[in-house]
Amino acid sequence: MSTILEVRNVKKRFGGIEALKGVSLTLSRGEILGLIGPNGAGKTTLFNCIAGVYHPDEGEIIFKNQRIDKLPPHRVAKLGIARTFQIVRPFKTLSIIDNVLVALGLTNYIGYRNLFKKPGAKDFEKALDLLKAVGLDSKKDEISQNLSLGELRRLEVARALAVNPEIILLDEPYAGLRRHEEGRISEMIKELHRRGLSIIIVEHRVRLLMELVERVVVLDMGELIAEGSPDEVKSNPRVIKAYLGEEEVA
Amino acid sequence: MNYYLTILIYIGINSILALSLNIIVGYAGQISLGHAAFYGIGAYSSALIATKLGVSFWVSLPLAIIITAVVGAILGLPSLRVSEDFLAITTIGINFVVQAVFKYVKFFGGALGVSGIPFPSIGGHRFSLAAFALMTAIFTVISAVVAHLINTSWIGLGLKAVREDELAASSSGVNVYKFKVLAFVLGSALAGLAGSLYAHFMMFITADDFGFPLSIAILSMIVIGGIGTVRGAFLGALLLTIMPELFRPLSDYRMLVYAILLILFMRFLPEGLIGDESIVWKKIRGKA
Repeated sequence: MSTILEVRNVKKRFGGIEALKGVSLTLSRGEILGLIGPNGAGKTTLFNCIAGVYHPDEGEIIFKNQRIDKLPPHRVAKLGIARTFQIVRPFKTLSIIDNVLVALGLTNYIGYRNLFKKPGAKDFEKALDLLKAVGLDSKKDEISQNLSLGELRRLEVARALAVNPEIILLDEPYAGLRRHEEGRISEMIKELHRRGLSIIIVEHRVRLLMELVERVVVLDMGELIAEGSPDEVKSNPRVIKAYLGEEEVA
Repeated sequence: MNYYLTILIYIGINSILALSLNIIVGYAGQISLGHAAFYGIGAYSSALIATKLGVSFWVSLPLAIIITAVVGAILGLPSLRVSEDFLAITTIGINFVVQAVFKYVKFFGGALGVSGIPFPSIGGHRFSLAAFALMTAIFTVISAVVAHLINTSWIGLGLKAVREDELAASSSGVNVYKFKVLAFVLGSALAGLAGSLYAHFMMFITADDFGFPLSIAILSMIVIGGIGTVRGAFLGALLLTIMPELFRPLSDYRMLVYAILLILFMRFLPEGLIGDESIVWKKIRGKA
């Protein structure tokens, strides 16, 4: 499998705190990679570096042979890396379908020629298809404020898919969900995988990733401490130590 | 008759102002408490171009719009660094600074203001008051069409995304910086239009016409009417232009009334009288 994303020795400091101390990892085309680690390990910081929200102090991030570590988020999105957020960030007062339309418009936001054009029937159709894929098409005209957390997470995935990505970064897609909603998210992730997307999932409970991913990397205190199958990682003494005092590992 | 035409012209100018602030505050969510500054820049540009260069209204008007849009882009830059409360304070500051520049820099006429601004004319024929009112109405309609176009096109979607969540917007491909500056450019351009109309209607302007209280009045218009909607801007401008005329004896307390109205609406009717989610508008749409 060819490499689609490579993170090379990325360091990120916030004042005196070194959130990432030289992290390297690769993602293959069509792979689902689990990124785990206790709270404060630097998982979201790494996501933010890949997505262009933060620029690493050192190191490189390469997407399809192109350096992206100095690009702003909207350019990274345009290139084909989409993301969801750990704490959901819907466009609150917009309707569900408008939430998706915003992201579908990304090619129109470049330059000035298309800015004053209206979204066409094709765009609405596309948005509806994406909502169908996550099971929200029946709520398309609702204001996103009125959705449940599980629905909002699925909306975030639909919005991420709207940028037509090759990689999708899922930041704790299970956080705060009930069991039956967790199952629904897993089904959705499998569907994304079938569509050929490369996926990185941040999660701090290995249990949820067992059936989804083949490979897991473990981050602790800004460093990669382990890599391997979920089973290998679970029994790795360094991982157990990192989680000690935390809740369950499995 | 002249009195009513004059009121009509004020309603038109105020509608354009409300529509223009609506682009910045309503669509893009960038709090601006200094909108009178852009109105003033439009008025002063138009007045100075017309009086110093001796050109007609038809030349000074488009130039004033362009100048105000350019200055709007520059004065909108703080919105890239500060947001919400801090942006509100910054824009108040911009209002006072711009007003002070008009008042104390000799080039701008100083405390005496600018006088002798030509009333619009065509082929040597000076406009009648009715003609001016008609022209104002046409510009108002054009502004409303522009505002509606912005609201319903990709740019509107991008602006609203920035308003709701900048991080999510940028992850969805929206260049937040560009869209914020665009909001200020478009809003300022329309404010420049309003300013130019005002200058050539009054034929005499001073810095005091463009103070902070006016900024609050414009903001009150869109809050009362229904923030983020074209019809709301119109209703707000209509109400806040007519009301002071109806309650002349209360004019000393105008600012107090605006303040009370603003607080009451923010607290009890944040969607305004006919905003998208307001009770009234939901009822109207429910029946239709």
